[in-house]
Amino acid sequence: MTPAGRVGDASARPAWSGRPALWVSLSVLPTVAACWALQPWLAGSSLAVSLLTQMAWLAIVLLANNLLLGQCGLLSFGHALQVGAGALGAVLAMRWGASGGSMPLPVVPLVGGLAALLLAVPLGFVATRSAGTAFAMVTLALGELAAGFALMVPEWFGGEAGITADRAYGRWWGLDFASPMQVCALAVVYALASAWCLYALRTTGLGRLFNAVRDQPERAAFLGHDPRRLRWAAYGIAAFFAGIGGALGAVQFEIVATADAVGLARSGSYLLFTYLGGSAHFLGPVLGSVAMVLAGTLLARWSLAWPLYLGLAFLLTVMFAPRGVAGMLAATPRAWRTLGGVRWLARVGGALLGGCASVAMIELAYRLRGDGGPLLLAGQAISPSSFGAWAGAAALLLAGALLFASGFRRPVDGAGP
Amino acid sequence: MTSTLIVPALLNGLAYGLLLFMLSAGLTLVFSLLGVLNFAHASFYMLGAYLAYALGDAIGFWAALVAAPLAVGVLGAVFERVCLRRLHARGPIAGLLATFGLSWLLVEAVGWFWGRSTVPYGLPEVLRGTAFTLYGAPFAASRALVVTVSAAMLAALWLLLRRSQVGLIVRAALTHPQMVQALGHDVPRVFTAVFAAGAALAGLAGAVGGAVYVTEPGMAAAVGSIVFVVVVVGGMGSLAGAFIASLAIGLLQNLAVALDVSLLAVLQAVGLPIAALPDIAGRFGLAQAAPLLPYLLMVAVLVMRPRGLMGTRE
Amino acid sequence: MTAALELRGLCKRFGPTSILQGVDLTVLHGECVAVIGPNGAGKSTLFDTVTGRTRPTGGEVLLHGRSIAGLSPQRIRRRGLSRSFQITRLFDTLDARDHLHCALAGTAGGWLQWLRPFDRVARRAAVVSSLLDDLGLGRRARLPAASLSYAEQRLLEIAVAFCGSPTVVLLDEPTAGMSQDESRRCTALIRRWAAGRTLLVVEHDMEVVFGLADRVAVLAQGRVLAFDTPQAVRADAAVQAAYAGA
Repeated sequence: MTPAGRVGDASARPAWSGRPALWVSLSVLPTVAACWALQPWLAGSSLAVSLLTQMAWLAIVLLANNLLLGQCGLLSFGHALQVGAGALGAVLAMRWGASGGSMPLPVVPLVGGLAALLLAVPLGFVATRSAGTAFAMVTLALGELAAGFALMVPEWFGGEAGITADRAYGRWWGLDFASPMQVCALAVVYALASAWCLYALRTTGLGRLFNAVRDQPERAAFLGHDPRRLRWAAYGIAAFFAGIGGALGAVQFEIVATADAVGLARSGSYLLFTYLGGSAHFLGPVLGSVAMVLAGTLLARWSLAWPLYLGLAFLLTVMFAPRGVAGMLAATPRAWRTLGGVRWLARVGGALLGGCASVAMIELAYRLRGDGGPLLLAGQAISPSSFGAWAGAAALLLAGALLFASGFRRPVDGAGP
Repeated sequence: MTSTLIVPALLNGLAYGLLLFMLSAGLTLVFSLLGVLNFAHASFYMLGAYLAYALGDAIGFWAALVAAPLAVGVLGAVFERVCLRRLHARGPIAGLLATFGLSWLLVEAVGWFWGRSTVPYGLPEVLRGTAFTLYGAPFAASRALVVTVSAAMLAALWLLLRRSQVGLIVRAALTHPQMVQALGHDVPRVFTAVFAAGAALAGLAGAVGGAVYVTEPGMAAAVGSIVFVVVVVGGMGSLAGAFIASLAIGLLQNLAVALDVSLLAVLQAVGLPIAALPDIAGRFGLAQAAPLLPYLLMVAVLVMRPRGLMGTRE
Repeated sequence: MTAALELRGLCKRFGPTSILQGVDLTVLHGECVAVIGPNGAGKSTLFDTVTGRTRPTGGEVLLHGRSIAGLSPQRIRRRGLSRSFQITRLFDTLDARDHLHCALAGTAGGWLQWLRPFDRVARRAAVVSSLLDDLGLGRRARLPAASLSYAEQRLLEIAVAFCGSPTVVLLDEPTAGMSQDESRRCTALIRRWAAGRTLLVVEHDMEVVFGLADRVAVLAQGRVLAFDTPQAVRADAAVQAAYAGA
């Protein structure tokens, strides 16, 4: 019986495994083509460049998180600690470079990665003594310990304001990285390289052992492997890549507020979006990083209730779509074939309709409490206390539910989806 | 100097430790039985405080102290029935993630309904003064309330688990759920009941703690991590361990604040031949390090005993 | 002949309940010993204690003359003692080939090998393909283990226990849940794989016991009641009484 819905239970071997040249070209060529196509738009919009840069380094962070979550079955509430360590390392390296040291900016992310790795060795020793739930709690506490420590010593960490650096302190191969476009390119290059490394890791013996330790840690021990040491190795590797991601973030924003960056709140959101993107598929975290950037910028600007939406989305994903968005997308062709186009459309349509209605009701509720600006529908302002608005939303919700239910075959013979 | 500082610190530490235990007891119970660590436990704590505040205006402080935990328990039962029950088969991590989502939702919902700043949930007049004086140091009535409620809850819990029929079924379901179900007991309903009881305990802790300390949306985050540390240090699944760990952390934190000895003096007293530390250590008092002490304790315990002080489950 | 595995007065207690009450057993090099006994006799506990899953409360376990009591399962495996489980525990998402590679890698030295895909490690490839031929999975060797049939999973579970040249192999009810034909095939494979190794097998199926075992040990109420050739044990009155009364 295949365990459905367990975190990270796919170790699919796509057709190109074992043929690195094919993999590289499959990933590099479309990326280059996309960048070339997007260039005019990017050149005109600094927001788009900034968003793309964030998506790139967050993708590295979330891919590293998924190494722990999806591949090893290790739930970590302290991932932000490694990301923050990388950012801190990067800022210190940039400061050193600015004051005359030899530190080419393209190398700074690697410095961040190393800093995070060095920190992860002793921390991993403590954390990996446990697995499962205990591991999650230990990583949580370690992150909070670091956050508290950072606040306690403002001389080193800059307190709540953080410490800054300037990234444009030199020229290497004609680039000074003052322009956001160049930073974006740097981030994208690192993202591709990191993704390639992490993907290759999945195909190696070590990657298989990580899966083995996730599925049956005790059995792995009886085969002669040390599950604890394997977890430690995974923790370290994840830390390295998380550090690279964090360092790129520090390069982009030229600041690191350590107390903020390493705490539970940040770790929680990394976990949330890794899971939301899909922990069972390699590219799930990349989708998660896109969602994270869009939620943090556009969604936050659009609605005050955005944490509520995130929490709901996460809860619904855990309950009904445990393989995340990537999983849903991957299952779509098969669902379309099994259900038939009409019923699939009915379900999707119903879900969307119900979703919109719920959003409307939540927005009305927030307005009722006095939060947020006026609610506009087709140019007309809607009063949150008007019965018509609530009735309309409720009717829409009902319609959505009915449409969704119609996507299920009536059980005539007791069977059916 | 010492007695006027230490005695109140001990008493305050005892009170805080017992409050922590009230919180971690519910968490440990749920973890022991369901295998799921309830990430939203601290949010239930927060909800208990807010509900007690809201109900207190209508039915009085003492009635709210009973009603609020019951309401939180009902909410916990609903959540377990609707969400957690279908996740049992997928393993404990799925349940943990679901409660993580719930914690986000609860904090948001509370912020939406009551606003994002502190609410004036306070103690009634009779509890605002001093309960008694010990060695010349006053013991606040509020702390006495915490100690009394915690002790009463502890006794009730012990009686329920050890002496009653219900407790027997719960303890049996802990190790042999299928057998208990075969004997005719509704094990899923037992699970729901235990989860609701854990939530109610957290709500009770909140109703008391929110009045004694502070009631604001950030209270969940403030106490949440400490409770997890208590559970890890005490050993996941062990009530006795949680008790020891709660008291240890409560006393440690309060004593550290009271005994504001500089780090340098401590090291020198221990005998290390240090003439001078970098400037930072000179002012690195124990009082400032107090919030970090629980985490440091956890690291120390884990290095020596990976399963916690009295750990039973992995 | 020297003893490969020696149990002296092995005791295991869980709280107030004593499961193993002084087990004495000597398994010689290259022989196959079957452990039989009524339910609740402590056979699984015996295996758990010997292989490091639980710590014995008393007595000694000697592997090739060296004590292994209290060591972790991975250390015991590296000393040459492996086991299979009564309830199949495979890595659901790994395929059969990966299982065999993981098992072989468990005792192979060198950490650099882990950085290459399993298929590329040449010296293991021959062993893996011969085992896969024995298992007869064909193209299904590339599917996740969870999609194999029950019997195939059990065979894989047993094959994994034989990987990496263990000197002593403990098999816990290898043919549990198999049909007659599957049991016979399983027994033949075990006999082939166990050539030159020491085997300790817990079994309920008497046909398997008679097909494999050189000697039979009867475990009842935490003690060894009889330890002799299969025919002698079958005729032993005390053994018959133990089974009748259980």
